[in-house]
Amino acid sequence: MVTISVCVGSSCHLKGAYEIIEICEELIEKLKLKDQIELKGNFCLGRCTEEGVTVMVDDEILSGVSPQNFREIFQEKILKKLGEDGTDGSN
Amino acid sequence: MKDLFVEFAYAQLPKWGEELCGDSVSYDKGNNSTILAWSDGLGSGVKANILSTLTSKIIVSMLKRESTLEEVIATLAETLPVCKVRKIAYSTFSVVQVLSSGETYVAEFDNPPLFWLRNGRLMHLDRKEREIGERVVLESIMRVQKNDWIVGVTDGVVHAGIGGLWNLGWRWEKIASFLENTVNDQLDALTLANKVIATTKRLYQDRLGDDATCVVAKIRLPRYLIVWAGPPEDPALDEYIVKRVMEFPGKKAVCGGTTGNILARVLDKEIEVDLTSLQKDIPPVGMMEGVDLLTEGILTLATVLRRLRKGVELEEVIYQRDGASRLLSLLLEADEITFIGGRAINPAHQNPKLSGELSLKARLLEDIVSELQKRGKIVNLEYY
Repeated sequence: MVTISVCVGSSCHLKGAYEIIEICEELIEKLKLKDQIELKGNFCLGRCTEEGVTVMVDDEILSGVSPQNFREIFQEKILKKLGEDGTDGSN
Repeated sequence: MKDLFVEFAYAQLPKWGEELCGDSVSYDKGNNSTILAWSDGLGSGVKANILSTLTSKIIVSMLKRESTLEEVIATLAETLPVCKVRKIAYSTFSVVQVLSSGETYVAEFDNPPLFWLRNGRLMHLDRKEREIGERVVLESIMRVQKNDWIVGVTDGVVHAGIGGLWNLGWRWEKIASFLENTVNDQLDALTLANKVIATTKRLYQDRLGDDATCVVAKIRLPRYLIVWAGPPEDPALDEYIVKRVMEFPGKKAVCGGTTGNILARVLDKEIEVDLTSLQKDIPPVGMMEGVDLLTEGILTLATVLRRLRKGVELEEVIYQRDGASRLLSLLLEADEITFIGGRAINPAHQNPKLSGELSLKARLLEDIVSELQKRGKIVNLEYY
């Protein structure tokens, strides 16, 4: 079980938190990971001045996340954590 | 005893073929008393509208400054233009003054008698005649309580359907039983006024024979709301503000991610973000025990201001899930609102690359306050 918390504060919202949540929901659906990933929102993680959106994966805080690089981060950070091979996890 | 609040509303329609309604309604809410007055001007159209507007405005503004009814009537006689057809300076009026203790003064001159209802029954008003400056005015004193209704109509309502659907019109007694069957504690003043006028319109089969106005005052306890938006400049005040919000006797809303986090930290509780309330332009709301609403700050508040300026009404937002609509529902339902603004500067908002909306923050609360005041709300704004 991995918990993904996306910051939904003002700054992160303007930098694409909404799209990231949408992509994440789509990936969870597509890869049938509903039982293994919990997607949550988080009220301001206090990293507003950094580039990009702040996302927390379990206890690890990632800054600089964007709708463009999120799929990559999902593969590298989240799928790896789940111990799966991300490249052919689509079926 | 707790202070009473007068929820006031009215609805009206002009006579068929006229653009202006010849009846006018005026209203003033002071610290300790609420005054409402309505008047039916002679004739219809522009002239009637001017006569009745002058009458109701003069009554409210003079009684507010504690003039006597004699002074008010003398002023009306000297101010109103004399009608060329009828050679008199004349306009009917009714005035109701409710003190926050419930003590109520009523004066009526040539209008249909007002209706006073309690527990769904019509109450008897002990009216005393008094001659003031050649006019016979009916005066009465009563004590209203929570869930009482005061309803006034002009004669266009009493005569609704006359010579058509009804031989003698709707008539006062039948309107009284309509009101007895319609009022309940959940009903609001505007809905009742609209129901009376909609029925009037139906009885006239859409072609009103006279201007028709219904004025409604619902007596109830005031609804209070506190909105905390932004952390204080001095973090040492965090605990004091959280305490004030939590002990506030009314509904509580907290706006801003950091502000919400301060609340959660001080109370040692968790914020649960409700992702189903997420919208592309409005970040989602949070939920926490003991607080009615937690929202993001600046974007939500900017949306609230934009929609207030567009004239948003309660029924448009009450069933919506997004943060701005939920905050609007709380604001529009409340009678008295306290805003606590924080002066702390969010470094992220200084970033010039971000949307222009963020730079508005300083003025946002002030603008929301003035929009709410325009709608008759009592609003206090404090900064820390």
